[in-house]
Amino acid sequence: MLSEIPATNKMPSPVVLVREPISMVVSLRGCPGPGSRLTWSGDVEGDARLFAEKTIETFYFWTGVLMWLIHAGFMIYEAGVARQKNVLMTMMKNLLTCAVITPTFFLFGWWIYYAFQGGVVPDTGAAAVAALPWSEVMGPNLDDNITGVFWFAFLLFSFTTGSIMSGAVIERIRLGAYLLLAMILGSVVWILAAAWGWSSGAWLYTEYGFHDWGAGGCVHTVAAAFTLGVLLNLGPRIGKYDDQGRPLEIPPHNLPMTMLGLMLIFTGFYAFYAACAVFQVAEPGADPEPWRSIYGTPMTLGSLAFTVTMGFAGGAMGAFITSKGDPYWTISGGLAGMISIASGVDVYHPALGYLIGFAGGALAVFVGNRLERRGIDDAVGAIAVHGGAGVWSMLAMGLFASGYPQHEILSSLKGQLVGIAVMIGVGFVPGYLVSLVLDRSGLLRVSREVELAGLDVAELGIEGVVPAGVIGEKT
Amino acid sequence: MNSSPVSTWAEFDSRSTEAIYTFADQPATIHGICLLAAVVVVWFLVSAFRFDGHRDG
Repeated sequence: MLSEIPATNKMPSPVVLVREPISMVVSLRGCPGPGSRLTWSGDVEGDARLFAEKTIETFYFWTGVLMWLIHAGFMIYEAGVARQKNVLMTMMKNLLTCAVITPTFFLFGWWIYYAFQGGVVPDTGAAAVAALPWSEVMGPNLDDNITGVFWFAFLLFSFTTGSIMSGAVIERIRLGAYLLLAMILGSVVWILAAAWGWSSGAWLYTEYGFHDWGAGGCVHTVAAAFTLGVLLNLGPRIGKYDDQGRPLEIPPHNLPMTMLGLMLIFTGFYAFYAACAVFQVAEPGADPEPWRSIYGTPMTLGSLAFTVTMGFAGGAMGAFITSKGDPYWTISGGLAGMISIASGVDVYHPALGYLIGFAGGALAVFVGNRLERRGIDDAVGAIAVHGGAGVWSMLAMGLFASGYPQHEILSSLKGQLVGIAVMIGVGFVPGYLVSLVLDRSGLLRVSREVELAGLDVAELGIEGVVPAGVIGEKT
Repeated sequence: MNSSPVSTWAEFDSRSTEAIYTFADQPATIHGICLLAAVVVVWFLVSAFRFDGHRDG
């Protein structure tokens, strides 16, 4: 086994492997220095296993880090969409989304994932108990390197659900109401849906063969359905509709900023999808383990490289055509394409992924326009992109990839339809009910005066975007 | 639509079938999907010219 030799200096330095009896030293190029050393014991099998475990730990840690790009992207994407008077408050919401979900996901979100995989009655088994915040593995533990890393990756998924909602409700929701809703969505609702449909013990999987490889259901559809419920109570921004109820254009204040934000989201989504792939170390003497889906079906990381990228390309092209070249919808279509292939990334042929992405991008534009005409003011098209493409993702899996064996059950259209119904219901009902209570209590929306003045000055006391040359008095 | 090239869990899990993508055991279907994808690309390129100069196309 590997044993650690104390560092001989205080400089941070890489792990250096010394393999005995070959005595081969492997160091990372450009990072000299003795630092911390791990020594191979000569038990090759044990050494290889430990090295693989360290690799897994490192892999998932960095998927979480790279997923922060999604939230940097959401932040500037939504800030670009907001009018200048609301830019700073929009960004504050994105920032505080991450802040409020983190401790609540630690306190009860992680436990929900392990406790409710069988349904509505909480499990009291070892896995659920180990996910309680006072469990021994929910903190630095020399015998468990992986729990914290997995928690971190799931946490970043939670941020994503909150960020999906945040853009839709900008420019009129109260900060406190938004943060309460984000906490409920990010630390309760989506993770309950994940327990039901995106875990090895999920009842939607074990009983219906539901297959949602990249969380098109529990992340995108659930967040979009929750958002729809909120928007029904929140109402449109002042000035969004004319006296006859016809929608008016509220253009992004900085479209290039919005497009850059989406490029960051695209980048972070590769890490999101990489975190959906499960890698385990084979038992001694067994064949090497492949990458697997969360359901345990074999797959490769190459499927992500092929299909996610092809889905993006198809989505951008599809949205370009149906929006007649509109820049905002074209780049949003790229994201819709990446979401459209989510449920079947592990099995789609790349050309099929391209076509599914194309249809998803085209569909997002159609859904977005329909919602707008029906009085739903979704400022960023989140329901169209995440909900439209999320539902399409699960449906496409049933239409084009049925018949895959998943332990004792096959993937099927019926299983996907059941999953779609559950995901929409799990998201919509709490979003609608909680926002209804907030609305009736007068806590959901800012006053008309605040909305007209802009949230930055009225609520934060500062302008987010200050015209050049303006000098104010220091207070 | 049943598109799985593997029919049993034992076959899938043992990885005795290498190409696991949809319709991998139906080459004609894959050819058709690739052809359709190519047609869509051409459609997109034509659209790019249509929307280049005016938005009413």
